[in-house]
Order: sequence, then C-alpha cells, then structure tokens
Amino acid sequence: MDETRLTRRRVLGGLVTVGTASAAAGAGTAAYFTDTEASAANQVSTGTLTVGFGGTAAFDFSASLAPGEITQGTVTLVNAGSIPGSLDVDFEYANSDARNNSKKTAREVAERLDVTTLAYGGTDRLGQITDGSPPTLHDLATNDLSGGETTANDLTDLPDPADGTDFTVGFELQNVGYQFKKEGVAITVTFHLNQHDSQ
Amino acid sequence: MTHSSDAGVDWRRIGHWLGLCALLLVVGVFVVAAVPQAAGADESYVVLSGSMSPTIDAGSVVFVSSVPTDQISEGDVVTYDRSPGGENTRVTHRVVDVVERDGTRRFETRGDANEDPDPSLVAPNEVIGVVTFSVPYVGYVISFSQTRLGLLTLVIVPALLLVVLELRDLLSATAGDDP
Repeated sequence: MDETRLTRRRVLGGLVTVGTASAAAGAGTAAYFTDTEASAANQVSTGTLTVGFGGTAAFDFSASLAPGEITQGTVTLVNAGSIPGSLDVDFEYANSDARNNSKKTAREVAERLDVTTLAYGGTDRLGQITDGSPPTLHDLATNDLSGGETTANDLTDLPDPADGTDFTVGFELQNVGYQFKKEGVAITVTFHLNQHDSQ
Repeated sequence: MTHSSDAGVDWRRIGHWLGLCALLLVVGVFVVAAVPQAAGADESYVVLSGSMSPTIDAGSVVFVSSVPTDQISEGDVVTYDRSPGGENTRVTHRVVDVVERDGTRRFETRGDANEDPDPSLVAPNEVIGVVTFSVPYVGYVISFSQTRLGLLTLVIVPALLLVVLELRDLLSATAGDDP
C-alpha cells in the first residue's frame, strides 16, 4: 500500500473532520460595525402652529439628511385676530427614527443638528439663542428665555406676524459617523401669540 | 508530458503527495479554528462584517490571545465585548488611542474602514484579547456548517458515504474470500 496515496477514505475522513470542526467552532462571532459615508433617512419634520398660518403648517425638512447637509423649512404665520400680538416660539424634539431599535437618543441627535438659520420676517434671530456656538437643536429647544416672561419660551417678543410673516429655520447635520445612520427627531414648533410681551 | 513515469519522475505519486498535504493543511486550519489553543490562541471568532477591511475581511477567522490590558497599545487589533453574554456583541477593531480615565487605561477603537472612532471608550474588563492572526474565507465555511444545509453537506452526507463505501469494500472483500 502506497502511504502517500490520496485515498477516498482520507478525503472523506478529512471532509468529515472539517465539517465537524466547523460546526464546533465559532462559539462566538465578532460583529463589526460597517462604515457608511452618508447618514440616511434622518427625519427632521413638521411643526404645529397655534396662531394661523398662510400656507402649510409643516416645515418641509429633509427626510434623509447627510452629514454636512443643510435642511431648511419655512412656514408663513398670520395673525388671524383683530388685535396685534407678541410672538413667542417654543421648540421641542422627540425621538423619531427610521429604525425601531434606536441606538441614539433624541438628545444625541438634536445635539448634532446645528441651527444654521433662524429668521423671522427676514431678520436673523440666532442671537436669541444663548448657548452653543454654533447652537444646536438641543440648545434651541432648551433656550428657555424667562426674563420678563410668565412662561419661558425659546424665542420671545417677536413682532406680530400681521397678515403674513415668514418663519424660517434651517439645520445642518454635523459631520457625524455611521452611528447616526437612520436616526431622527421629530420637531414640534409651537407659536404663541400673546397680547403682551410679558406673557 | 502527461505521463512521464518513463522519464523517471512519478507524477502521479507527486500529485497524490501534494493532494495529501493540501488536505492536511485544510483539515488543520479547521481543527485549529475549533480548538484555537492548538495554535497558541485563546479564542477564535468568525468575522461577520467588513469594518476592518482590508486588514481583515468579512468571512475571516480571527485568533485572539488574552493579553494583560496594560500590554495593549496603540495599533493593536483587539476584540472586545460591550455586553458580555449577549448575542453578537463582540467587536474587533484597532486601538487608535490609549486614554487614562479615572485611573484606568481605556482604549479608543476604530475599524480600519471606518472614518470615525467607536462612540465610547473600551474599558479593560470589556477586552477579550488581542488578535494575533487571521485566516481569510474560513469563516464562511464555519458559518455555513452551522446551518442545517451545511451540517448535511459537510458532516452527515460525507460521514454516511464513508460508512457505506467502507461497508461495501468490506462485503466485497469477504465475498471474494468465499469460494
């Protein structure tokens, strides 16, 4: 018998060994993160209004914001009443993800959305945000200006919208990594039209 | 030059010899994957995705040796487990920085193919060990063997074939002895 022969018995025996060893191996597996360039399907959406508005009630924000990309939305406010008022604005955000098992909290997402534009009637209002340089959505939502106010709001004492004043807000997603893929926040913007500045 | 036995070289024998070596090598690799201690490592893991490519591609098997964490330095590829006992929570990434935090060494890690480091630092008790070497493609076979079809094609069918063919040989040998 030639000892170096590649016999059927040896090949089959080898195959069985490979299979059995494989089935026994890999008691644990290493899961890697994979890298992606774009942060997809971030939801930044819809506002609600308590005063009247000229057009749509929702800011038309991007539903798939990539890092470094800006999304901007505008609503037109109107004072449908008969007396002029003072406008206060309150920002809130909540978790709203494209995936169910969210890895990032709403705050973590909000802290990575820079407020690039905050304008009312064509006038920049970014200066009203006290924290952050540049301020983030989280800074804006926790701005809570309470000086001279009964109820703290994030923007206060804006002029009466009269028969149509544009309110524009824009956000830029910071250069975040793949960890923020498919994360998102729903933003609720509440407009309070008060008779007096102090309200 | 198909058959050169007349030239003094037994090509058929050399072919068998090479085949046997290849078979032994392949079998050895899988046995070592199952028993990493045989290669001086402590654990072996199948790599499921490609954030360490091109250093380690998905489908590789990595061999991990437990090393005292104070010997781990920047540039080492480590396997760590964020929530020990959990399913597929192990990650193999490269240490890009060693940070002193609250008196302990912590490791900032990043996949070679990732742009950004992992979101939080790795604590010493989360480290399983340092990757000493990896073998490409073997992980695919291991993953396959753990499916029902894989078990059938890699274990059950060849084992049955082996038994049936051996029995046939045995029977024909005894039948040949009969007369």
